[in-house]
Amino acid sequence: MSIEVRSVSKTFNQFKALDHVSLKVETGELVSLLGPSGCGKTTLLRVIAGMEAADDISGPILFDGRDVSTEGVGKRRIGFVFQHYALFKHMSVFENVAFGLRAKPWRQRPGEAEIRAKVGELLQLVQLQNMAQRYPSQLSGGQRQRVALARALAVEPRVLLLDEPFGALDATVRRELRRWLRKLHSKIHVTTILVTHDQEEALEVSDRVAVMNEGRIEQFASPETIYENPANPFVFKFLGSYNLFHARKTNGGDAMAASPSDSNGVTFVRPHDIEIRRENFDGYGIAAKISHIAFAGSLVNVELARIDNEAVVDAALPAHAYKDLGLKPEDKVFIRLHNTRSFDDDYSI
Amino acid sequence: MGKLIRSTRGPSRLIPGLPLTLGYTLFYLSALVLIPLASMVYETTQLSWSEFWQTITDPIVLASFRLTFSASAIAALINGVFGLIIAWVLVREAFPGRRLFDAIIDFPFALPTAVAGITFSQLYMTNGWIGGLGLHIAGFINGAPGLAGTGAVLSDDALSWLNFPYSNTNTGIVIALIFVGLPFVVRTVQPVLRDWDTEHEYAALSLGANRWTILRRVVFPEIFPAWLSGLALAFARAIGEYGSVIFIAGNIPGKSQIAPLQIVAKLDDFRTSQATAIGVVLLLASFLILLAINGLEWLARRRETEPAI
Repeated sequence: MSIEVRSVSKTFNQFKALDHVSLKVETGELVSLLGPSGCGKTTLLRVIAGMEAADDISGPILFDGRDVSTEGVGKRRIGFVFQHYALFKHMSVFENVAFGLRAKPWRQRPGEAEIRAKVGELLQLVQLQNMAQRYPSQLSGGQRQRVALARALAVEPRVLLLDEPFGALDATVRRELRRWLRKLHSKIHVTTILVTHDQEEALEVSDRVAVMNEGRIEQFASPETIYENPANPFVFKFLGSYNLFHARKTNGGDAMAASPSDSNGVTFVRPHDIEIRRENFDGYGIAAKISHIAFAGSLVNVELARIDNEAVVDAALPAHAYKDLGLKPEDKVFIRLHNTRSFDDDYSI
Repeated sequence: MGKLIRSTRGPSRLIPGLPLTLGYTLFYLSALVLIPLASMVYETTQLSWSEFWQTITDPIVLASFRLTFSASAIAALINGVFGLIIAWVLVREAFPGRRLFDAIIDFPFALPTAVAGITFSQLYMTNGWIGGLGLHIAGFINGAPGLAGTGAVLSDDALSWLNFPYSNTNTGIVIALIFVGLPFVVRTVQPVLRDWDTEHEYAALSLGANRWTILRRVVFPEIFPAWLSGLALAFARAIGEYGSVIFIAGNIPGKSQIAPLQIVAKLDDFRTSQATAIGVVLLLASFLILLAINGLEWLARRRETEPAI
């Protein structure tokens, strides 16, 4: 089912949580709402779910072209998964998953055998078939979230809404679960909206990502486009660490070659797009001195200071390249920037 | 216990003075609770078994037990229903004066029960504000300025269904017991409701459950243990309540005398052992009820707190 919101606003007291947001998610798509906390991503999700009413000036919320904005949560046939699971702790895993089936009006309520079969199937899907009789308190965080997902899927929702579903889990489990979610989605293909503040998570699992900031969508595109072609400085900055230069890139050359006086824009470059060499790049390189080296697993973070103006530059290079170069603090090297992105200097930092 | 004290000599002790505080706690408990209870039981043993049996099966005493336990149970159940509603409203609804209402809940804790008793008995007299409410309203209408000279519109008992003359009745006893027991249910349920995450209700709502199902299958099981303790406390409090009840009760032996009043009557006759015999029965009954309710509560909580495997 496709979901579309048109010009939705939501104000809490004076605070604008959503500011004329429009978004269209196609049938079967997995879309992430990505942004820092307070950007309105959860509010947007809750408005779509019907847990929060949008301001009166808002446009419609369309499920398959039909306006559902006046319908309650129960009517919209959504599956909602919360960050803190919201499992019913006095019910077993089985009863949690069966809840939606048992809560149906008696005319539509399936028989006990059917409920058993359905719950069994769902527990298989989330790989918890042996845990049916456990209680939520006896499960790990990752298992609890999978129960929550199975519970949401039991009522065959037309859309799955996930609110920071992996936010309360540790890094390893989180990575594992998001891969699993991706696989699950390709299996059941239900339209899914995922709220997250984790760029890596959004880029890895989504078909498209909506980057949000201060109640607006800054960019809505495929993960690749978002990363390679950020629409504005905010998106660039939010997607990872960066170096910022107050100068516009000039005629395909190096931004840093520009002198501060003709700076009418900003240029960004990611630390891993900075190349370090011992000798100059045919005269195009910039001389710098290594001031600090920090080992960070597969990458080595190197902090440099330009020799001409002592501006600080952060570079990150693969551990093997670092070893090949044999870098040490105080070494004099040359750097070159790749994949720089320039924007007009019309925003405040 | 000995082990506990010895282990405190180790270097890992964080809070000093455990032997002192532990000793103090034991002394305090003994002086205030254990010794009086033991002496009550001891006093009762001055009676032979047959004397004891005779005392507690005396028709008047039996009637007082019946009245005390049934009135307490009814009052506790009514408090269970309305206390729950009040707690819900105080936690969930934002209305002007909520804090004031919240503070008023504690009133029965603070008010001397005899004062409450006198107030209630006055209110529910046949000509009291509530006891004669219909009478007063009829009088008010008849005396309205627009009707001057037309004579009485309503006879005095036209609104008799609005009279609630419960003074000197057993209904009055229940009313007094509802008053003293109210804070217990509200104050035990309130914190649980406050900590309860409304996400659970949204989850149930998104799964298509209606309000009634959510209340029955999601919310109530969550607050059930706390609710049960509140009920038990209100009940136990009602069994021992004296001050607020004797003013509104009829106090006719065998009909409207509560068990604590029987104790006072026996003491007035210098039959101390018989008085304590009644006390022992009340104690035992409350103890068994509290035990049963705690058992239920434990059963309800057990599943949620089992350690992860």
